[in-house]
Amino acid sequence: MEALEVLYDRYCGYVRAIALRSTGSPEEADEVVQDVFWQLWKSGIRYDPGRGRFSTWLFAITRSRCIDRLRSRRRDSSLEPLSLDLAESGRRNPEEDADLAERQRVVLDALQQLPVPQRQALELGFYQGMTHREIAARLGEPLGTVKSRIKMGMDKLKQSLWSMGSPS
Amino acid sequence: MTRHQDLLDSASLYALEVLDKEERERFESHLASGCDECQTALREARSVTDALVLVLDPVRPSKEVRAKLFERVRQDRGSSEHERASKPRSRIWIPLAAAASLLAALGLGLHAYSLRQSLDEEQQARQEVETRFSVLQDAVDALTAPRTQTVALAGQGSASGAVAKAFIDPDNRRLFLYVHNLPPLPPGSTYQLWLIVDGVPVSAGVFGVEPNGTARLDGERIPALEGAITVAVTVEPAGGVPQPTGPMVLLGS
Repeated sequence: MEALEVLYDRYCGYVRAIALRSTGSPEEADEVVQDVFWQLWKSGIRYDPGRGRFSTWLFAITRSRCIDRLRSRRRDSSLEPLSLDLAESGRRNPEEDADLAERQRVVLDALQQLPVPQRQALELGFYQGMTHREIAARLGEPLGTVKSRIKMGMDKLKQSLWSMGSPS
Repeated sequence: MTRHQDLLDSASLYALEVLDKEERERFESHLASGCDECQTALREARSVTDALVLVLDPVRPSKEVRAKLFERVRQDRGSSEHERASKPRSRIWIPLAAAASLLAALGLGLHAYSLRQSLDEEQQARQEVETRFSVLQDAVDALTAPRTQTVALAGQGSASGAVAKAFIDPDNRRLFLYVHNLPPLPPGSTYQLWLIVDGVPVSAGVFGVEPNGTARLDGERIPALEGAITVAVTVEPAGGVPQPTGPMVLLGS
C-alpha cells in the first residue's frame, strides 16, 4: 500500500486536474480520483509496462472514467470550449519542479502554434470527452472536416513536441 | 472493406478517444491482428495525449479524499489477507509476499533518493513484481492441478540450443510456457506456439523473447485437449498466422 500512497501523492493532482477540467465538478473530480486509484489498487497488475509509461496508462484510465461520466449524463449545455485559458493555467504553475514546468511550457507552446480550429477540436475531444460526431455537431462542421482537423492537430503537436524536445 | 490508411489515420482519433464504438472496435480488432505500423502510430499519438495532461496545473484533492480512499484500501487489504490466510496455498504465498515487501521496500528506498526521476521506473518495477507474483501463483495452481501435463520441448534447426517446458492444465484450459536460449527475432516476425492434437495444429499464442533468449507465455482459454499432446513453436510473421508456415524451432510431446 505504501507504493500506492507514493503514487497517489505524486499523481493525484493531475488526475483531479483532468477530472476537474472534464467534468467541471469538484465533487465528481474527487470521485474520479477515488475511482482511479481504487482501480489501480484492485487491478494494478493489469498494467503492462511493455505498453508504455505508467503515467500514460494512469491518465488514460482517468480520461476514460471522465468520458464515461460525461457521456452518461450528456450535459451538453455545460460544454464550453476551453481555448487559451489553458495558457493562463500554465503560467500559474506553482510547481517547484523545474523540469515539469519546462515540459508544460513546451506543450503550451506547441498547442498555441496550432490553428484555432484544430486546437478547438482537440480540446473538445480531449478535455470535454466529446466524440468526433459531437464535436462536429457542436461546431456545425462536417464530420470529415472535424476528423481531419483532429488528425492534423495531433500530427502537428507530435512534430512540435518532438522538435522541442519530446516532453513526454 | 476499410483501407489500411484509414485505420492508420484512426490512431490519433483512437488515442484521443473520440471514435464511436464501431470505429473503436474496428481499430482494436486491427491492432489485435498485429499491425506494427498502427501500433507505432498509436504509441506516438498517446505520447501526445499524455503531454496534453501537462498543460493542466495539478489540483490536489482534499485530505479527506485521501483518507477515505486509503481507509477503503486498508479494509480491502485486511479482507484479502484474511482470504489468503484461509486458503491452503498460503504457505506458498507468505514467502512471496515477504519477498514482495522486501522488493517494494528497496524500490521505495530508491524512490526516496530520487523521487521525481525514478517514480515511473519504480512503479513499473513494482508492477512487474506484482505481475510476476500473480503469474507465479497462477503457475503454481496450474502445476499442482490434478491433470496437468508437462511437456519438455527441444530446440530444432537453427535454434538447437533452445529448451522449453510447457505446463498444460486441461481442466482450466491454461498453459504456461517457459523458454530459454531462443534467439530474438528481427522486427516483423514472431514466435508462435502450437498445440498439435491428432496432427492438427491449433495456435496457442504468439510471443517474443528477451535479449537473453528467455520467454514466458501465459496461455488462457487454450483449446480443450484430451490425450497425447504435441507442442511446437514456429517462426511466423508478426501477429501470427492461422496455420504454421515458418520453420519449427521447438518441439516436444
